[in-house]
Amino acid sequence: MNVINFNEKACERIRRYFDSYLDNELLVETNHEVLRHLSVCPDCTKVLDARARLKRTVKRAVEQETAPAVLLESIQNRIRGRRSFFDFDIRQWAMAAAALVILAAGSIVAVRTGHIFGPMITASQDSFQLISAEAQELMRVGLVDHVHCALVLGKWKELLSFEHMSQETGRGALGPEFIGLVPMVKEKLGPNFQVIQGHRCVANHRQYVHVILTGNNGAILSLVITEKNGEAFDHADIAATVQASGVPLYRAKEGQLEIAGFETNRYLVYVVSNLDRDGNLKVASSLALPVYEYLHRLEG
Amino acid sequence: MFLSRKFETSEFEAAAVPHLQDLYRTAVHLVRDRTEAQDLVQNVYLQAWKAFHRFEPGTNCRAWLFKILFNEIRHYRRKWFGNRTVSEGEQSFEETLPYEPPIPEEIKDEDVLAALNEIPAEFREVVLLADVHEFAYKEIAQTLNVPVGTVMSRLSRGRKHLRLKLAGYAKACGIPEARQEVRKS
Repeated sequence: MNVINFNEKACERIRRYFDSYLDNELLVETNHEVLRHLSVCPDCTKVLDARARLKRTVKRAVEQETAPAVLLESIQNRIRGRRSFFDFDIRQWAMAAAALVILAAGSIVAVRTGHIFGPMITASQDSFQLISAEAQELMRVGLVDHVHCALVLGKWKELLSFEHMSQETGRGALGPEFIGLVPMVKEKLGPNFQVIQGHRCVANHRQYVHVILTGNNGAILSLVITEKNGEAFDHADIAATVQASGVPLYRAKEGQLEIAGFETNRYLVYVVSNLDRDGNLKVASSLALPVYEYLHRLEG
Repeated sequence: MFLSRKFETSEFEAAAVPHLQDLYRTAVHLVRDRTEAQDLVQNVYLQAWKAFHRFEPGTNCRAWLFKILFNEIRHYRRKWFGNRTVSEGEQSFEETLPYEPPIPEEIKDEDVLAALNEIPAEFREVVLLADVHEFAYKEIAQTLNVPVGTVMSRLSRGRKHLRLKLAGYAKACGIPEARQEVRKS
């Protein structure tokens, strides 16, 4: 058995400092004491060298292990996915990411403004109330498609001519049923908005008819229509915000996005935009009656 | 607000992702299972992301992530080993000897890893934090929530365990004593 000559008490004492010495944790005075001893003690120098070598080897050996690439990918997906309903890549659109953050926070506020006919909206009668989870979900039905399709997929930038939309025959085509919405929306909203495109799309496993418009000052607006799946505004715990020419309008806000919704027997209809409260309600009020009548005709 | 939240995501990734390898390596050597280690590290990042609003920019992100990792590891151990704590135990007879076990000149990485994985977990974690990640004792103490004195004691004992294990391997491999660094008394 190899035994150190520990008759030398100094060696024994100094070696107690070796761990801290190797880790630069000694006080200056003690460090000097160790160095002084090492300068006259080859045995302790050897011991210290061996310990330093072992320390380096531990580091080198452990660092050979590398994390699989899939781990980073998975972490990034989870982190970025936290801001998303559908796990899509939200980097494409900063505003969409932000909207989804707000969605995740689940802080829809409904506003009741009393009974107002026509597009004129006043704020004086506002009272805020938190709405139920059921109502939140119902308002999100429209929001989801605006965020996913118009913002995240960037459809708001893809201007399509009316001819193109009319001739389109694929799954995304509005088709003869809904193509009439495009000129109608154009006429109702006047020169302040441009119809970018109308199409059918799917978000969160739900089918939508979607008309996207842009307006002044970076406004992006969606008219979103989807068939009811057992839902109804008048069953949800939410008060109608305004009556637009007799059509009850429901309003919610998610972050910077305003949502206004109304319904027919068969459809839920939403106007979602980054306009302010009054601006969005004004658009929704302008569209409510003609869209209601259009869909009502479809329902036969 | 939108832009600041977006910025936060990239800020988090810029601050936290560079430490992924260090966290993973530590987890692998503490749970000795690569799949479990991946799960643990993923949880660390999700926890960190959730709490990132409390993280102060300019402070030590690596230390913060390691603290979360060790919390996760504690939960992992509790899940698998219940409330039984891994005792540091009494010093072994060998540990108490004033004996500097001989370390071979050429130390194989695989021997070091094998030795590391054989030493008690509470020593292993301190050795990893000090030797591999070169944390200061104070940081290790904060990470493990123990006094600095405990860190020093565990580190000293952990390193001695390692030397004893490696000396055992060296002897088993017939490495001549002439190549070892201690002299006979």
